[in-house]
Amino acid sequence: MNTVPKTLRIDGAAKQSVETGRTRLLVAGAVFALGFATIAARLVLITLGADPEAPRLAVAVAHTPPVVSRADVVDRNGVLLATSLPTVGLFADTRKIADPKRAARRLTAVLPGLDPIEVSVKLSSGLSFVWLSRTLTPHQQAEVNRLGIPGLEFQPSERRVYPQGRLAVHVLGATDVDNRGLTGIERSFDERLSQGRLPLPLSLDVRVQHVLAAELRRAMHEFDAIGAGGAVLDVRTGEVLAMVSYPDFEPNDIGSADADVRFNRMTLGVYELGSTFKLFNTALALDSGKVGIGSRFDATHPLRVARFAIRDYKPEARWLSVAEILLHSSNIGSAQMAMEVGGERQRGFLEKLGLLQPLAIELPETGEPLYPSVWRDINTMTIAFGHGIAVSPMHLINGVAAVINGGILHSPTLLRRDPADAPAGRRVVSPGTSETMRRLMRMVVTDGTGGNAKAKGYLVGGKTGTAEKQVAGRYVRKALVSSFVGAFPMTDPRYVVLALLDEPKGNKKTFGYATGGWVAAPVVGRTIERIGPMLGVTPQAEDDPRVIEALHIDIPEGRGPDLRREVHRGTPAPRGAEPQLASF
Amino acid sequence: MIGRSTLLSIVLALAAGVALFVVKYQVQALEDELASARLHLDESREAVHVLHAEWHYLTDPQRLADLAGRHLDLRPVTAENLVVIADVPMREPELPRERGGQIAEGPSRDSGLGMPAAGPQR
Repeated sequence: MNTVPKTLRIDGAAKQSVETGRTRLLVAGAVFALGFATIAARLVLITLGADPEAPRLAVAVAHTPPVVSRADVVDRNGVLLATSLPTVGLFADTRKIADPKRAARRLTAVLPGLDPIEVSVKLSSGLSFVWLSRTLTPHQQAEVNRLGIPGLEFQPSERRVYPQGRLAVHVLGATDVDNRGLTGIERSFDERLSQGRLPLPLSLDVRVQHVLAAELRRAMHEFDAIGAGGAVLDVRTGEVLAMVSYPDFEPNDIGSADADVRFNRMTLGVYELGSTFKLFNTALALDSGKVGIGSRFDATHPLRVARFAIRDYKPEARWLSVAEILLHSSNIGSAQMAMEVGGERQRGFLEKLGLLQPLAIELPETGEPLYPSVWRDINTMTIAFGHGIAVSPMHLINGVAAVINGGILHSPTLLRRDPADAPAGRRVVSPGTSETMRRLMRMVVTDGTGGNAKAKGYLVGGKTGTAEKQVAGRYVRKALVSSFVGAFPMTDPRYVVLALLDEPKGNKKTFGYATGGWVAAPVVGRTIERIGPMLGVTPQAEDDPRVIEALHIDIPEGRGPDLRREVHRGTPAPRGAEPQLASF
Repeated sequence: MIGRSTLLSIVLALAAGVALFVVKYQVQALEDELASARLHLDESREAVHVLHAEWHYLTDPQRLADLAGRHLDLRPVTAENLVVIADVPMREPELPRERGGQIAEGPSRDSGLGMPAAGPQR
């Protein structure tokens, strides 16, 4: 061992290879050192949280999925109209069920809502998946669980619930068992509701909807009508605050509701609405410039055109001014006013008001208006007083809103609109005509057929309408559609209210009359009395000089030998003083 | 013979190991807590959702109207109950003789907002 020298000398090729080994070692060492340095640096960066790309836990928590998959529907104030509740469904894997009969008997003992025979058949079917119940309460779930029958399984699901019950059911619509929209908003916004998570705000106001529904229901029972409808519309934005159609149904029970009950009278139904159309006729005549407020027309005798005779219900039998024609709801006068303007302009005006196309509103249920394909003189004359043309009640209320709001037609909407970015709308009559129309409508309530629509403090104006229904092409005298369209306050209209009763019957209180002024006008009056304070409309004293000034209108009298002054200014016209041939 | 640095290294390694275990168990406990908090949160959110629906079901206007009619002595507001603020009359200044000459006294607390002086209590 001692002979080994202390220093090993290597020469030549051996030295060369040792040098190579050293160099390689150095390079490898440097690479590793660099790697560890990178890892260390990265570790420091991550630990100090300096990396902005690093995911943050708080964000992940905020993105937890919603409780249910279908979005809520709320009213304009955030009141829940439709929501989905989590629930569990019960299904069976029948291959695992040993004794279907016994299982069915035990199951129906804890779920009395199920039919034992049906369950037994289902359980014997041999299928691997068969629904037994789509919704179980937590209590029922526990009961079924306790039975311990193998093959019965639970599936988390959700169920659409309408906390307001029947209120606004025709607007909201309903869904099927798989939560797909069948009708109404549920149908038209199906995609939005099933994908979005934010609630869908409607323009409806639950309080207004409730008042209108309650008043209509009361009138429907009082006058034994087969149906009723009504709506409240914001004249400035076109928002629908309430829309009611009777008869109605439970939205969760749409399967057993028949077609008549599901029928939305306000949008899907089209009716000949009668004298309320005289508002459009008067606006058209005044706006055309061919007729002034004092222009007179001869309403002495019934008008004979072709084989028809146009009569007045309670004939004044004299010359009438334009104001008086509206006040007494004269068909003869209205027909002549329309002829003065001409059929072509009349058609153009109705087209401009949107009355000849299906209503553009967010509901799948909209009715096609009915009107003559060839616009003859006789059509012009009858359309002047709302006959020979059938539109939906929502068409009417939207048109009236345009006539009184200064002349701008807005498209009606069921979605909440921000007043700031409401669509501009389209001018249909001049501001001057609109102002005259407001005064005339106020006059109909203070001096004419609409007296029952008075609501103290709210300066209601409006127009009555009563039309006979056509059954198999003939008008039926006793089957009426009676309506009233009113607005308030007439000094600066904010809301239009429409009430319509289908086949009302007169009673002792109305002296047997079932006309719009008797059955529908009180509904509008009482509704306005109750919703006015809710909607923040300031009541005004009717004897305030400024109000009188704003709403005053001279009723020029038609000339003629038989001027019965006592029925004009000051004293109300006799109730039910409305014309015949189906339009009052 | 163990060098000083070796001893130090062993001590450090042991300390690191102990610290690692402590932190690991702490994290595990926190994660359990987080999971149960999340579960609890989900349950609460579901409960809130259901209660929200129930609240709107119980405050349905028809039900409120029925209950108010049965239990309260209130009636719907009409136009007659509403007054514009400008129409509310100003409170009349108190006359010295009514206060027995104590003009310096501030406004009495019971005279309210321009309400007429209270009559004798029934």
